[in-house]
Amino acid sequence: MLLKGLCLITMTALLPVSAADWLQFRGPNRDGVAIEKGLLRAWPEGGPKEFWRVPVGAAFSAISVEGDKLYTMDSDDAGEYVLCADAKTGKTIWRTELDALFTNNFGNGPRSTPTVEGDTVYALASRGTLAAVNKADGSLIWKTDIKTFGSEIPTWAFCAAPLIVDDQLILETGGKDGKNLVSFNKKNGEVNWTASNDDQAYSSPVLMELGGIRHIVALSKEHIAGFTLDGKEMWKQAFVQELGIKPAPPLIIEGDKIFVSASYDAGAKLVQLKASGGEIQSESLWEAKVMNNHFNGSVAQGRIIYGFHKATFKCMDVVTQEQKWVKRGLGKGSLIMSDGLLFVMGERGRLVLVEATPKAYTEKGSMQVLTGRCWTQPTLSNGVLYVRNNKEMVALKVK
Amino acid sequence: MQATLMLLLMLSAPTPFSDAPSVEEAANNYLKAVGGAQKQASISTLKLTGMYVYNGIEHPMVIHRKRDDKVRFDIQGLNRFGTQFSPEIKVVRAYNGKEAWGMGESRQSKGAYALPAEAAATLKNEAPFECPLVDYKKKGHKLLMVGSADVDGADTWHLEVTLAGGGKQHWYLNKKTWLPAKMAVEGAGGRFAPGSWIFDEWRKVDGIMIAHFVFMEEGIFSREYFIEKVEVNPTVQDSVFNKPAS
Repeated sequence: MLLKGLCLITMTALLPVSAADWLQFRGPNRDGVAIEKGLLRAWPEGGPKEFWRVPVGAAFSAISVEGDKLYTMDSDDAGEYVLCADAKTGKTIWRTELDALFTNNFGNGPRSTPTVEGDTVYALASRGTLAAVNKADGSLIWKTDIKTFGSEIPTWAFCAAPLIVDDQLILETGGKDGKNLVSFNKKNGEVNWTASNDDQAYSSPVLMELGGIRHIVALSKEHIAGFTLDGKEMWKQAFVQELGIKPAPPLIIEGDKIFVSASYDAGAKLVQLKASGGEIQSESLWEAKVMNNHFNGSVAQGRIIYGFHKATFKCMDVVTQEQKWVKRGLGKGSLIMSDGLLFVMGERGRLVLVEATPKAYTEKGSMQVLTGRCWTQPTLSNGVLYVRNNKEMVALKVK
Repeated sequence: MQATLMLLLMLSAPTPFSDAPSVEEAANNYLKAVGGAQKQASISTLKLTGMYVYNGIEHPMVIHRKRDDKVRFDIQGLNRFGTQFSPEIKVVRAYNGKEAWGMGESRQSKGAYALPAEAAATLKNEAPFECPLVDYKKKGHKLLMVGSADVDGADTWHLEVTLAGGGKQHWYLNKKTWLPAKMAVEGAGGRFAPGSWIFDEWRKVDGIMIAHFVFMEEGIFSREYFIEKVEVNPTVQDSVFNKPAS
């Protein structure tokens, strides 16, 4: 009972003011879960009603939403941009250039998702320009180059999404000599502290509260580790140290465990955390090749997780590793969860509504919403589902 | 006393697959499920048209098959690393029963060439017109009933097939339908070599059952075949499977 109470406090503490907003990468708590109710339990033939569909420049950046505005990133031949659009029409309100275009055979443009906080939008361009822009008009407040910490543009570009904790912006930078994880003053971009001798892994840190201790959980090439809010390492566990591609962020399970997963046959690991005397101890519960998240992370429903194991959509008990069901044909897709429903974006643009239950894979609707490669996870805010690829952005009525 | 109790328990407990069919029953049930011996024997060629999906990109695909072990894949737009659709490229991979060859893997490659060993082995595994369970005795294959196995939530019978020509395959037959849910190749499944094939969306075409979705796991990667059209016994010349003179 006490544990359940603590978990509830933990969840509440991380929520934004308006639960319906989706202010950052993977939503309110960076876990792919939207706090929405009253959603359509099944979709009509052909899918839910389309509010609007607009062209967008190439990017793998997901969409953040606050009220009637949305924020994402895109690109054109000249550069990479953070943009604000009207969430009701998709019409661009402002668009601010951050850096030159990053090109890659698998797709050009930004990979990171903007974070919205207060009057500011924080965004990271592929080549390492981290910027804070005014939410109202996109004017630049500050910017810095994270390569100054000693890193080079990685093969798949800088991808991490900025994490705002109080007055700090925390980001994986790939910096050398203890600078892989960096805290910036969110108001002016000055460095508060640097931490971690590890190498980068295209990973976005998350905030976790355990036993009254708020701390940052970050996945690097070598470790999954916890850091105090002033950058001191609290715990760490090795995880497939030879692999430097781990874009699926750490996932908090039942308030006291961390699940990490990566592809290229890396597998997954579950770490138990215990808070005592102001410190946090970690213990590896298991490490196995039962889930290989490639581009996108899993979502958790208690100890049940749903995620893409390479190109197989899978449900499993994350404690026992027991597989509950699998579904193929969606490729290396992405998903989010809300109100007992999974919104699954197949790799080829087929959007599927699935019941979030370990009992069986049950589709409650589907539609071919986009075409071509779709590696960007959906966003759900105020009863509207937003999806995009590197050409189009679409808003759907799901409530 | 404890040992006696253990022995009694062991004797009274059913074996893990005491209800398992014999390998002959399993093979017969499979053959019935896919259309029956007579129907199967009446088919000598197949043309399958659909989509080959790799790295999230759809590539129009045509597969030609001919008895006994001729196969040819024509895949449009597939560049070497599957980064994007490249309309100027058409990849061909074929096996004529003797030689595995390929064409068009990249913009630079010109003419047909012998496939490297790993790719050739994959193609040879995909080449047989019939599943090795059909006429297995006549073909010299050896079958072993391994027992029950779960494949993607389906209850299956796991059969180990020792091929007459060497190598082992593992076939998993759905207990309800007797259709294959999966085939795995022992010793394969390296970084790039396919190790298993998952079969789904079985539909009847001209009296035979065809899997319209095949998911191939190839080490750290995977491919998907979506079959949209099946032509039974179309005219297909042997020359289609032969490596063109360079």
